[in-house]
Amino acid sequence: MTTKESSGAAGVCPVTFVDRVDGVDGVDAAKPVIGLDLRDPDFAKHNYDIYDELRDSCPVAWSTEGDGFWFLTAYAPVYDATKNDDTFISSEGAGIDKRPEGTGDTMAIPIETDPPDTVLYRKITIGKFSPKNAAVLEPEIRRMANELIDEFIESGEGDLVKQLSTPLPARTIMRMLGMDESRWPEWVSWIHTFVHGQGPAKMQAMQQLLVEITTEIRTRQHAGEAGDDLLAAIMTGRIHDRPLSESEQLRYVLLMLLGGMDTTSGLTGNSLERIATDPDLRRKLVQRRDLLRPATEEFLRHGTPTQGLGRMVSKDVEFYGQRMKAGDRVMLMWAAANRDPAEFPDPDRIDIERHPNRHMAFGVGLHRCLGSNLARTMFQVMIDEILNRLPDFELTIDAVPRFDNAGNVYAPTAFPVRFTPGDRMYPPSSE
Amino acid sequence: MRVHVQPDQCAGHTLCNLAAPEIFGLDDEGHVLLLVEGELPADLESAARAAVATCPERALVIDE
Repeated sequence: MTTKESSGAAGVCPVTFVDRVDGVDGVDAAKPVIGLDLRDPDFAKHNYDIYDELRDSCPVAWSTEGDGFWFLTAYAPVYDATKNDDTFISSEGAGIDKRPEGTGDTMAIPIETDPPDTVLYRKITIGKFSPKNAAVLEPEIRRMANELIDEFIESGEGDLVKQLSTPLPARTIMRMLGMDESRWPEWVSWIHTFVHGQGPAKMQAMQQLLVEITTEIRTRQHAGEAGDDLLAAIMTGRIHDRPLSESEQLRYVLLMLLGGMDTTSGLTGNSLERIATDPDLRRKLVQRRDLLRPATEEFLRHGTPTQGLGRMVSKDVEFYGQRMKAGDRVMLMWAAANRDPAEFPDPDRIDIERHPNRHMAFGVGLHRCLGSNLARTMFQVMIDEILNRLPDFELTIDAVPRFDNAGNVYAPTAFPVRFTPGDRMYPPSSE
Repeated sequence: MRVHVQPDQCAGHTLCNLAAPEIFGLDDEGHVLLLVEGELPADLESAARAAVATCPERALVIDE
């Protein structure tokens, strides 16, 4: 085996092309090898530069970090892999790492399942997340947004991530599940540690979440009445003519909480950063609020919060000139695909009227984000009310802090602003 | 011009509904529901093309 240095060696993500010496079936592309660690804080700082560099030179690369994984950065391979659920399976985990042995009962539902079960699991809750139901929930989401803004509107300063985009999605999903919304800070903290933490802290947060969710399920069981909320839908859900087991219910509820919190906040924070730093964009959105709906798709494309998700290769396969082996991990980088100039002309530019805009921020295919309609509604309500009530907000720091590991969710952790103070919309609560 | 939806390809992005609500409605799960059977009125053709072009699943097909 021989190696040669690529021209990208001096860039942000050096590539070594390993020549294939065992070409037996006519595939002669060299294997591009990188040492990319998605948990490295450096990745979160340079993620888009890394995508640009790799997409050009090696859109399907192999990273030797951790267990090793294929890293897909161009639109076409990401799309093709996602639409091929037989080869690129989800039931062995949707994260970066290989699923540890003997942990089958910790897989999240439905994201870490394969067809035909995926569609059957989704049926159980899909109506709760439909565009129609999102529209039904919109007025109470708007009221919640305005109550949260009331908490800081008179002072002329606040933190739009900590005081709005973090609590709103958390409280919304907890309300849909019939849980005690006032405990949102605890739940957010467990979810953050579980998603962004590592080692024992992560495992401890996972255990805490499982214990708390089990308590929620058992409390509802003892209450005798199922009700008609999201938790009830999951607890009365059936697959293959049998009820969901308690473990399945647990793993379903876990995903509702995981999916509902950080991602929507991430989209909101990433978008606010663009609005804060682009006067023309702000002016256009303030004046043409009818463009907020298409703008949502452009913000999803440009500031994709779930930067990528994992799959496992189920069988040896040739894919875009690379030889993948059964058991290999694959990271499908939605965020990289969403900046591919072959699909999106001038991809780094925000064009809120971009058309067509076939972004993959919610993924594509069978596993496409179940909560997307709700996410869009929450996002639009928050942006709409910020532009109504504090349209002149200014970021008070130079660089927006983000979670260190962008490999999971690319999202600001704070967004401190100042603005012309305004009036409350509702009287202070008596709590 | 006619349009049709490839079976099982819609994943509920709802972008066709955004581009051409007169042609593409949404069912109770948020999947596409074709509202115009047969030949499209001429004044809807450009909206139909826009909707087809923006489907991330490539689920919509134009039959000229």
